[in-house]
Amino acid sequence: MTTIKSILRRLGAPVRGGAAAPEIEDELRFHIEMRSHDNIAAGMSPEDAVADAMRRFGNFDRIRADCEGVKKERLGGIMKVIKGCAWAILGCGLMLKMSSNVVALVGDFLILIALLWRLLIHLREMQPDQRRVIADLRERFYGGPLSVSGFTEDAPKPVPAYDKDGRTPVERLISDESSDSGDGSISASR
Amino acid sequence: MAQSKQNLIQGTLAMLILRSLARGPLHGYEITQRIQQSSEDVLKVEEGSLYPALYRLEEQGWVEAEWGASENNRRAKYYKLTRAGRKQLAVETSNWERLSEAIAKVLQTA
Repeated sequence: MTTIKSILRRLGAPVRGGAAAPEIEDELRFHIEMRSHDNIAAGMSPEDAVADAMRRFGNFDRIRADCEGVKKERLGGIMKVIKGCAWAILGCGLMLKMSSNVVALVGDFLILIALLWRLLIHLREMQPDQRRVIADLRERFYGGPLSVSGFTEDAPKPVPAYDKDGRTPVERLISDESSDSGDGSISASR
Repeated sequence: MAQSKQNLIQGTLAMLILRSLARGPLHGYEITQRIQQSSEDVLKVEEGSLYPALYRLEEQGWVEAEWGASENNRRAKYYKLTRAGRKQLAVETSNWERLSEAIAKVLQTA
């Protein structure tokens, strides 16, 4: 059963849209967090604990790239077959489209399938950094929390620079403070 | 010379990982700790280098991985030995014993 699951996982990996990269990062981050927790438990300050964990871990980016390299090697053969299939379907679709009116519809369908398949392959091959760039761009243009291919970031909502009265956030804060405490005293919690 | 030394280290790391997993599934951090504790702190793996080695072992079918919950309820990737991995461990252990015996003999006679 486990072997079947393992085979299915391997076969499914190329069409999962590069889910491996965020998983690798999660796994490496988990390691550093565990080491940091243990360091803190051993009496280190949080800053020292994280610094020590990072030092022991080594070059994060290089290690992540190495792991991704191993994954890509594994999937390279499968990807070649999948790309070949996509082109073959496209070819069949074009041939059927040209042959007669009856099978032209089938040809259209095959062409559509092949093009979607090819698009999926292209998206899967995009590097995580490229997806991050897209995520950043989306954040810049739309704001709010993002979820792009496994990267979930709870981005803080942008604060509007001016309110409806034309005040800046600082002016608004001063104005609210003076209206809260009429005697002008500052509360102890501040 | 530098190349052969590196190969030896890589091969050894794979064997140590397989041996650590012989008792049951572990996540990467636990594997590092197991190696360190078992060697009484003599062997200190550069912790990150463990992961490419784990991925290679997975690629070779000697270990398989599954996401699960860690002891502190975080999502962690657990590795376990496959049947092929257990066989490989036996082969590598035997090779290592022969190699270390041979080196010991050379050191004693030289």
